[in-house]
Amino acid sequence: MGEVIVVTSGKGGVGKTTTTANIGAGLAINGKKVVVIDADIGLRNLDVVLGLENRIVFDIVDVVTGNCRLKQALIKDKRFDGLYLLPAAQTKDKNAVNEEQMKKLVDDLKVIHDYVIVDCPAGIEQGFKNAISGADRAIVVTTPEISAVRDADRIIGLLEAAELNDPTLIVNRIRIDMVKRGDMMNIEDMTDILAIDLLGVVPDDEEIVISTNRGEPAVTKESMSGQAFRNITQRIMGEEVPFLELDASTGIFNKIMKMLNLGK
Amino acid sequence: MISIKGLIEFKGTKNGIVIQLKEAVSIDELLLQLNEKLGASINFFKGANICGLVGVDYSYGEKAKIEALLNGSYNLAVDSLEDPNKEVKVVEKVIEKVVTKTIEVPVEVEKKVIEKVASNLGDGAVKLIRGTMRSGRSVDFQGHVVVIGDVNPGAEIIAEGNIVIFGQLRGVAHAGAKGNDEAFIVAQKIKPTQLRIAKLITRPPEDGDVSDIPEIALVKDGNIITEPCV
Repeated sequence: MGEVIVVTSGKGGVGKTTTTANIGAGLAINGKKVVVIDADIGLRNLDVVLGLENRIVFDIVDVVTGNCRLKQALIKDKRFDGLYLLPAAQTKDKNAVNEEQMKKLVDDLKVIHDYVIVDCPAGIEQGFKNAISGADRAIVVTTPEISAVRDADRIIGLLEAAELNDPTLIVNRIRIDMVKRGDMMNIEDMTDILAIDLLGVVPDDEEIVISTNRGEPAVTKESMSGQAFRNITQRIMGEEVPFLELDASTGIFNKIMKMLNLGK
Repeated sequence: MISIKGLIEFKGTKNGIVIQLKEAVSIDELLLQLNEKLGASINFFKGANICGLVGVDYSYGEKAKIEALLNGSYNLAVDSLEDPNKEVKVVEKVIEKVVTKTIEVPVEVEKKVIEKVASNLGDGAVKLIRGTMRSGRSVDFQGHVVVIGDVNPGAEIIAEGNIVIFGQLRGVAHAGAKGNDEAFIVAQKIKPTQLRIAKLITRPPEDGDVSDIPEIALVKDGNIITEPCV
């Protein structure tokens, strides 16, 4: 029996879809059977970020209305053995699916997959309620900004009310230089307010823009963000991985200073 | 029992009955006079509701006694004992800090302080909330509220009585919500988005100079101030 994980945030644009795509691909690379579900009906993006939009024939609304069988709607990713995508509909909206339909769907999928990862839409309305139906655990994604943390706090409250206890946190798009200058929240400030365990920290990386545009998940690349997502994947599978040393001062001068224990 | 003629007049308005007082009398005298007047004509006022009191400014405690008499002995619904013509004054000022220097407070002292405050809460029901109040959560209670945990920004507590927080207040706390300006707010760290007591509203100073020690917020000379609770 597999595990259903919902990736949510409250605030839009913090990296839920990117995280879902990268965790999904990362788990598949590690030999797991994964299905990622785009629950953002009407504003689907998971297919684009995975580079699978040209292969969509059926979507989640077709499945719940009985237009097609579940297997027909699943798209097998040819690059990652074991990764499947259930895309959202683009021409409907979030009221096209309800909580019971969603729960039945993920219950059916978790029998044959190790991980079912649901990409939750932004907000707290029907889309959110659908996405958390049937989830076993939740990952909350936020950026180090006060408005994002405010929304994440609200979402955690709603998750706890829905008895999805102990969500874990991913802090996305952190910029260590700004944190050092005091211009950006640091991790401690955020965990102090949100009071949940930290699953991972992903640095702000140009590589993400490139990878999402190309439909090639960053988890396969050598970048810092790719490494961060690989670490997150390991932690989801139960391994203890130390957090990335994000304070990477590049440049030969800094490297020498570091070696002589003179630099920061 | 001498009834003061013409002291109390009941004026009918579209919202209910307004009690008009011709001259200032003590609360005890007023209660006696009210008893006289209502006792004589109780059937006339049956089922009526009182929507205001004009002529004398009674304190919150005194108004509670009037409400108890009207409601308890004469079954009159009491919507309000305020002057319906007076505009609600919202005073918005930045919190005045009495002491701003940082004091190191050992844990044992903190505990003693909280115990002392808890025992001074006063009469009335107490609602106890365990755990952090997250953004979006709202508590509205006709009594005192005690929170064991933090109150995050976006959360709000509205209490008719006092508010005690065994944690950090980062959200909005409104004590004395029905008009009791003797209500207070205590927290281990007061770092709110807004503080409200009775009809007053304040917000933290712009320079972000918020405290790190247990503090109590209360009304002094018409303003909300915070002082250390040690």
